[in-house]
Amino acid sequence: MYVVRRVGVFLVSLLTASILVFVVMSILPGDPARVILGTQATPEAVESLREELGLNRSLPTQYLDWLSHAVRGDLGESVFTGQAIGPQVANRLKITAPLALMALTFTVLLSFPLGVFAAARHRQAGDNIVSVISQLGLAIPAFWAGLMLVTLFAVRLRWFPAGGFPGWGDSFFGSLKALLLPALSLAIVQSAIITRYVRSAVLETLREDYIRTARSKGLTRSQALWRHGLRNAAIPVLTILGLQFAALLSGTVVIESVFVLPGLGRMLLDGITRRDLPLVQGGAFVIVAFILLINLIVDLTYRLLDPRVGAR
Amino acid sequence: MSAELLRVDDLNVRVGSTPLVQGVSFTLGRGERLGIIGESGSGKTLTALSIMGLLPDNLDASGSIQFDGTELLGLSEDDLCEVRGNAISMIFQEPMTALNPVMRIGKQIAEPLKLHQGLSSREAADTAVRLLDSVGIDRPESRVRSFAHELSGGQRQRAMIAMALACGPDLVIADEPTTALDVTVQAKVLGVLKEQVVANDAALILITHDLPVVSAITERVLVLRGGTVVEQGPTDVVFGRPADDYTTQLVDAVPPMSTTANVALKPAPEPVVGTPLVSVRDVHKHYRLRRARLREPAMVVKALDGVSLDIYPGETFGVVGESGSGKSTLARIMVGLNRPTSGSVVVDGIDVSAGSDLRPLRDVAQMVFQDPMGSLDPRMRIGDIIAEPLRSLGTAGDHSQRVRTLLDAVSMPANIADRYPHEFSGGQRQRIAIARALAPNPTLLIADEPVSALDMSVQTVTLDLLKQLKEQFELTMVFISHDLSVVHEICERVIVMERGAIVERGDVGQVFGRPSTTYTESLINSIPRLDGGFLNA
Repeated sequence: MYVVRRVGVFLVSLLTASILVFVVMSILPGDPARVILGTQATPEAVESLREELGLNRSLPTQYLDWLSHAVRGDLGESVFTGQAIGPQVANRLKITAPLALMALTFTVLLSFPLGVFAAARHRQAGDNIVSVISQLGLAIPAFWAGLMLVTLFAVRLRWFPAGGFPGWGDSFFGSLKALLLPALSLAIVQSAIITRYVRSAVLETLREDYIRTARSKGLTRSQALWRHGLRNAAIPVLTILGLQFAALLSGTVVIESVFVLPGLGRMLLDGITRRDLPLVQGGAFVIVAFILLINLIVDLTYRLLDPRVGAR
Repeated sequence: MSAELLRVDDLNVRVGSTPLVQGVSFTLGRGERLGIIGESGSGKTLTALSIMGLLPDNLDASGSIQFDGTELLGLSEDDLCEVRGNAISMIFQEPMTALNPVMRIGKQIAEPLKLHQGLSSREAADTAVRLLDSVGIDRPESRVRSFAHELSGGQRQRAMIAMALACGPDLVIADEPTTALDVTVQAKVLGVLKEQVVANDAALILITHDLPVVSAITERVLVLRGGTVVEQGPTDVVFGRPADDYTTQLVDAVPPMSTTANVALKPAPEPVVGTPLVSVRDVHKHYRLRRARLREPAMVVKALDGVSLDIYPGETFGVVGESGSGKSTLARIMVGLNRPTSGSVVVDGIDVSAGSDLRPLRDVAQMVFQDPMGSLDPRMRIGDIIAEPLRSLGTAGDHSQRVRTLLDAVSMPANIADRYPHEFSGGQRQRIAIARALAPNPTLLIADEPVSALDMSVQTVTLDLLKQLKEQFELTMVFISHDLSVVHEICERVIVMERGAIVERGDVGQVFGRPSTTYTESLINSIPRLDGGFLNA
């Protein structure tokens, strides 16, 4: 029942998001027909193109038309290149999705050990050092972290490429390597935030009665932490992780530019500068859908971690 | 006396330079059962945690704790881990928070077995089933797979007992093991605890503020006050002929219902007259539970199931029943905090169940809640807390005079108006909560378990205060409690609630003296009595 309800919420949110994206796009100034024809076009020519593109129909009709195509993966055509948007978005997603998921993985791998370490050494030197590191991480913008990583690992050490993307088909490991530094730059900022949440969640958990019970059974401090504390502490952190994923995805827009990756973020940026509204619309919708999907997964994982969820 | 198991000698616990436990010394023989009595802040829990080596990091213990020939103070953490859960185990007060919410009960019970006896997971799991069976949990083979929230309070505490006894310890320390439970459940759980400790030849240290509980279980008792021992000796001697004034005070604070097997019949109150102040007619409150599975019908919980009652001006009306019987729901509906599903509630001519604008009701009916810590905003000054009802009811002007009068009425100095709730003890905070409730000059005061979170001696003082305020402010009072002794003391008429319905009603003396339902009878028989007879109820 919990799963059914969560999936239901996901679908409703998706629909709402599609309406929002559509409405916002149509409110924006800039008539696609005029953009296509250029400033020299006669009003008659613009009008006939509007009719051809279906732009003179009512907003709900346009939306339903767009939606009925969108569910079949047809997001319309770019007004700039005339290419179908669907396949283009799919192609770009092959870079952005792995990049975001890699960044998420790095975030978890960095922040959980650091947060647990800091909590276990509460108010000792180790805790303070982690605290300073995470302050620094928070203060560094992702693009600057990216530039520093490039300077060190690409320019100096030549371990990783400074930018570009070979394509999964051509070189799988090369592609993985190309995503590593950008994912790391995204993860640095995110880890700084998540580390603090992990630390406070673990500290909170260590004060719980059941930790004292565990120790009264003869478990050492660290056994009590690992066996009883971590799973309980992970529950609140998971929610934050889901919410932060949105911030992480918006970070890809900048990072893809820094590392010259042909991802979804770059596509959106290009689309916006060219006033390619259908392209932006399609891209934005796919990004929102991706964020909602990750949060659906978070909700479902929640259920696995906490037996109390969905029990009532 | 049997061989010595534990010798505590001149135990001192301090935080910084402030002593919390001072010079506590006692011995315990093998298989002996010792009670430690004391109010909050007496150092009884700290003494227990010192033995376990589980004091919070900022506390230091000094002195000597010899257990079975080994000095525990100063023992290495590794060696202490060998002792904990193996030779000494502990049962905590609140089984809901003391059990890990995300780990199955069976696994939690199996944990010390794997740790100390080197059992395999399978062997430990089998033993866990056997242990659950031995503490009287039915269907133990499926219960081991339950999580804590799926068990009742009594079952959870039985599981804690099973866990504590898993490795056959020589000493079990139980810290207020039944304080969070209903009386009928308390009687059963205490019975199981005693039986299991005896069956395992273990010694027991039972820590509680409840004298009758100690007298039922233990052979010897130690009375702690402010971190020092004021008296110790055989339980019946200490409670029968207390040598110390403080012990005498504690014994005197035991409510009359707990000192004699027969409840002295209270004289019948004067017959009620006039029109009722509160009129509740056929009130139902149903909660619809979310469905667990798609095909199942939605479950409906009937928190109140056809409740009707009248409360007359000037009386003190008691509502008793176990947790989940609907007492608090009834109170919340009477002050309009919840809306009934059906039925009508009229308070002083105001139709509360219609629930349109309830502001006029706030002048008439006010409420005092159980937890004086949680029900006062920690970031508001006392004066503002007390004046808030006046402000929200639109009374303009300076309320400082009124605040002073109210503080005086609850015997608190007027100069505390600028201070914050955390600076006060539980009893003081409850006085502040009472002053706040009295601010709009209500005619009806509804008190939901107002003394349950307080120490015994503070309970007595607070009850006396409520009685006095009732006269002074000409209040009608509804007094809700799971504690029959308290209701017996303060109320004239009473209703007994079970699963959302009134099962018995009448004068307190009549209902408690000659109960007509087995439910009321079991509630009364389960009240811990100094003669210990309730365990076999």
